[in-house]
Amino acid sequence: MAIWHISLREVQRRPGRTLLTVLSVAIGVAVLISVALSSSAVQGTFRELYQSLAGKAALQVVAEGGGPFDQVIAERLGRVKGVRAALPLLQRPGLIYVRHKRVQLLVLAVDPARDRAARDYVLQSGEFFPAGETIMLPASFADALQVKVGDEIKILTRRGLRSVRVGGLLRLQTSLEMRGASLVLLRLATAQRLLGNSGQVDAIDLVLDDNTEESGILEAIRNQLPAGLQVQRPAARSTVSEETLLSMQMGMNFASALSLFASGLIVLNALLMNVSERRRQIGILRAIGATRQQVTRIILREAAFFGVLGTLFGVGLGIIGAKLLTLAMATLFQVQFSVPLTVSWGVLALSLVLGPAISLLAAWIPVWHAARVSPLEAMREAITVDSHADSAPAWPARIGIALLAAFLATAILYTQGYLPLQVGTPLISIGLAGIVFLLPAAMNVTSRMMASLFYRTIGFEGDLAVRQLVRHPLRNSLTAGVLFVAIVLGVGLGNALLSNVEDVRRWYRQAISGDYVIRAMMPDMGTGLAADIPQGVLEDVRQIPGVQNVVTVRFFRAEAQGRPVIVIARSFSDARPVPLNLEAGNPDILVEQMRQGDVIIGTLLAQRTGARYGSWISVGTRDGVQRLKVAGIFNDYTMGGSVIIMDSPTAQRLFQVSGASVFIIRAAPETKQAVGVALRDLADRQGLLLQSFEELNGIFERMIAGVVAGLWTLLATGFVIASLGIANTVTMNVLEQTREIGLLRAMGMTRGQLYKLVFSQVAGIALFSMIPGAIVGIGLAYLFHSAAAPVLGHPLRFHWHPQVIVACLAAALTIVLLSAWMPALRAARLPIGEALRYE
Amino acid sequence: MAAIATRYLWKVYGQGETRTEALRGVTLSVMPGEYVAVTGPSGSGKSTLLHLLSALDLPTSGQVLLDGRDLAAMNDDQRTIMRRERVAMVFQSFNLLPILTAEENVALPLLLAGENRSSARERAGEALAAVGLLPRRHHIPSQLSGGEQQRVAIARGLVISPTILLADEPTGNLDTEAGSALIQLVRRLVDQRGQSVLLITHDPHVASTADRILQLRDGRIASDENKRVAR
Repeated sequence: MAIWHISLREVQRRPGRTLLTVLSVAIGVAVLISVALSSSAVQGTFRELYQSLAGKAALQVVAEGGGPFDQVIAERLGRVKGVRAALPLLQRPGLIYVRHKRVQLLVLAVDPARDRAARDYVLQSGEFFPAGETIMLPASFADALQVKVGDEIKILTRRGLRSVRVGGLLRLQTSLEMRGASLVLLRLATAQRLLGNSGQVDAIDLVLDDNTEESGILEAIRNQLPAGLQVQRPAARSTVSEETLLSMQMGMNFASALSLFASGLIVLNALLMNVSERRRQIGILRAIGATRQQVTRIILREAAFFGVLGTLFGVGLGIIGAKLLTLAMATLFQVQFSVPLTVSWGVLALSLVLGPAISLLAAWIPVWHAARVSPLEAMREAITVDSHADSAPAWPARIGIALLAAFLATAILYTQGYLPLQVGTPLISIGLAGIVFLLPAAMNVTSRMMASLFYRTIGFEGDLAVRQLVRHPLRNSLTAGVLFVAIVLGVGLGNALLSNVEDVRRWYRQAISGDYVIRAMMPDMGTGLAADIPQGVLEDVRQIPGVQNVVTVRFFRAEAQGRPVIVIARSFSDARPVPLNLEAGNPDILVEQMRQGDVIIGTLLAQRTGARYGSWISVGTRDGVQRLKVAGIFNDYTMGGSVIIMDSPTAQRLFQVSGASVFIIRAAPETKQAVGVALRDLADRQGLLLQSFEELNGIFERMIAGVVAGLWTLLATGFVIASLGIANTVTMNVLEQTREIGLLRAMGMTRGQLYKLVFSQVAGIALFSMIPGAIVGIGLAYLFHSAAAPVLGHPLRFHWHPQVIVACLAAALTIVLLSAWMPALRAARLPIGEALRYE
Repeated sequence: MAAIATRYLWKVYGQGETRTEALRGVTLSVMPGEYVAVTGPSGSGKSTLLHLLSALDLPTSGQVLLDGRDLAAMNDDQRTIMRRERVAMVFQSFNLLPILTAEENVALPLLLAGENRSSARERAGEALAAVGLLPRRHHIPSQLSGGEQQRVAIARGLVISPTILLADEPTGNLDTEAGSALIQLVRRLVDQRGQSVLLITHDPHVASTADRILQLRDGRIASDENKRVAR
């Protein structure tokens, strides 16, 4: 028999414990993978969309503000040395109707004769970009829509809905095709005619010679560009969406880091229990000649087994979790095409390393213990093993103090701004780990108090239960530590989450005022852009009897002080105060200031750029960088808060953007219903979206509910992991107490009293985690609240949410009692005679 | 009335090829103040008999009558309470709770019965005094010798003023001196307090201190020697 058989048999001997330990690693890894994959999928989608569309184009020329510009410049750029091709294109969100079904997509208009220099596509059926009002569709997208060559579909243009014919189907040689991207391709000239942009393009893709470096040619290209145009890498357009996801990303990272930490604690505990239970076995091995290295290898092998198997399960679970999370985020952010789940090798490799690494790291202390087991232990009677208890080891306290010291030192640097924002997650994890390792010492110190409390409230069984807990302070307090982490996560993140949600609600209820909204489509998450409402619709709306006011809004991208921002160009025709949640500014004169060309900026942008009320902010415009006066700062969640609001004429002057993608309509109260009917008729005729403000509120509430549900699910995983750890420990406790349970039963303990004893033990673990968990959780919630300002750009109003604390504590108590259910049943059913003989 | 009695007690383990008849119709009775030793080779059914007498296990058929009440006819809680209030048990391996002091171990049956802590401690102190261990009342088992631990176990049994004290090889883990002292203690309890005792032992010397020696063989009573009558 090889030595590894010992590990194998040990794992087989305790299938329940093995399963719980493996599952805890699996869930930790799964959370990590789900969060990492779904985040990278959503961010990667935006980034890859532009990269894929750009194909071989290394650079792209766009206008400040993202509006159209004269395509003549393409000729000049094509002559720059190192540029193989300069390809003009229109690229914007659009809308088509296929048999009454609305489909949001991306319109890509190219010059087919030259475009293959950048993008590879092969004609699958029909004709290749035939003349006339025809479109091309990716074959997979056409399949999904059940559209064939020759079918008529309707496309929304500046002149309303227009019928076009499907001229051919293309097989794209990019990742877009594989993922069934919602994309329509047109001849550039056709699109310019349909969209009313004669001679204008949205971008020029630049394909470089093979031996040309991007950095080397940038200056030459810039020299050719008139003011208002800039050259960038194609993926740069996605930075706005990344900014938007930042706060959610940080929350998810925090949850996954703590889940992994909790999994590590469970492995540590399982192996400590294992070594403690097998001291005699290890003693026998040592007595018959096993070296310390061999004993070390046995324990490490078992740790590696837990880690590897847990990781493999975790990867599978994580991919499923990531799919669900990605779908939820896709719905939340209104991403219209099927968001691809990129199973990134980097994330997989990280998980494959981290899972076993956490296990092996957790095994370090048990290994140290195992290697020091004396061969004399083999000579001891089982009864003395039974009375062997952890003698409040000093090492956890030492580790705890060291971790807390590291936490405090780093926290000082962090709060002084010397460390990046992303350090927050590992920093808090270190602090929490420090507290967890101090729990064994705390358990010893507080045991008398707890025993007295339990005796008074539960009775003799409560007192006995606390004494059993203190017999193994390390095991039980580490288990309490796992639950502590879950409670801290729940109370801290939950409280912060609800505060944030309240802030979002306050914002949208203030920001959205009016009765109806008309738009062509929901804005694209990656760009914040949406298709324009056809010309003439504004006049039609205004002529509806009862319409009091129409505010036109258009979103576009720009750069302010080197940062990507979303500009909201809106009309200020209404004399009423602007419905904004102003942090700074004078609402009485704001409209007048806006008409004079001033701007209002989001708090995040103000915070990132240092701009203040009354100061100036530099914005890249079609006439070069312009300094605009800040007439107000407002709380905003649009695109994460990197937002500038300006008057529509100002936007037209600075960025040459016109038209609107949203109309906000107010009707006289007595005619509201009639206006709604007329607007519905108009929207149906023009293929536009009409939403009442009640519907919009509903959309926002659903979005909020989606985010909240997602984060609660993540928080719940903490409790699931904790329940595995508790079940593991309680099972072990009951197993170890088999003989004592037999004795107590022999002495006259009823089954009811035995249930009380077992449940009192877990209640002790719960109490030991609930009190510090609630306190640290509240502290963490406050920390999150303070840390929200740099992420959101404005301080949140901090509110206590006692219901979150109560819910978390109730969840902790529930899972603790549920986890103890099976061990308690087992204890009650033990045949007394057999239990008395148990060794 | 007998302190404890059995009628046609059968205990069968397993089925088919693994069927083992541990006890085959054992009928016996222990009168108040009687000291009975049960001897027999390994596998003769001694431990099974003890488990059935102490209501730790149920017979396949037959009756166990404690103070005239059939234990087999009771539910688990009723049996447990009978055990708690009427039966004292002493085991070979002491079976003290390692987390409790000697006094707390002795008080355990009283605490389980819901007696308040101070009264239970007081009575435990009396029981410990009866076995000569009052000065060691605050020591935990690992701080006591084997003989002392077994005396604590006897005190734990005595504290409830049991109908019967059942002892399973109580000297098995003790050296000769400690074993003799323990047996003297048992004898004293019988003689001075009229305590009924049923003791299982392999040791002929220990058995010889009893009033009556029952020999079990293959699950049956092979002999029943009443020394008191003989005297």
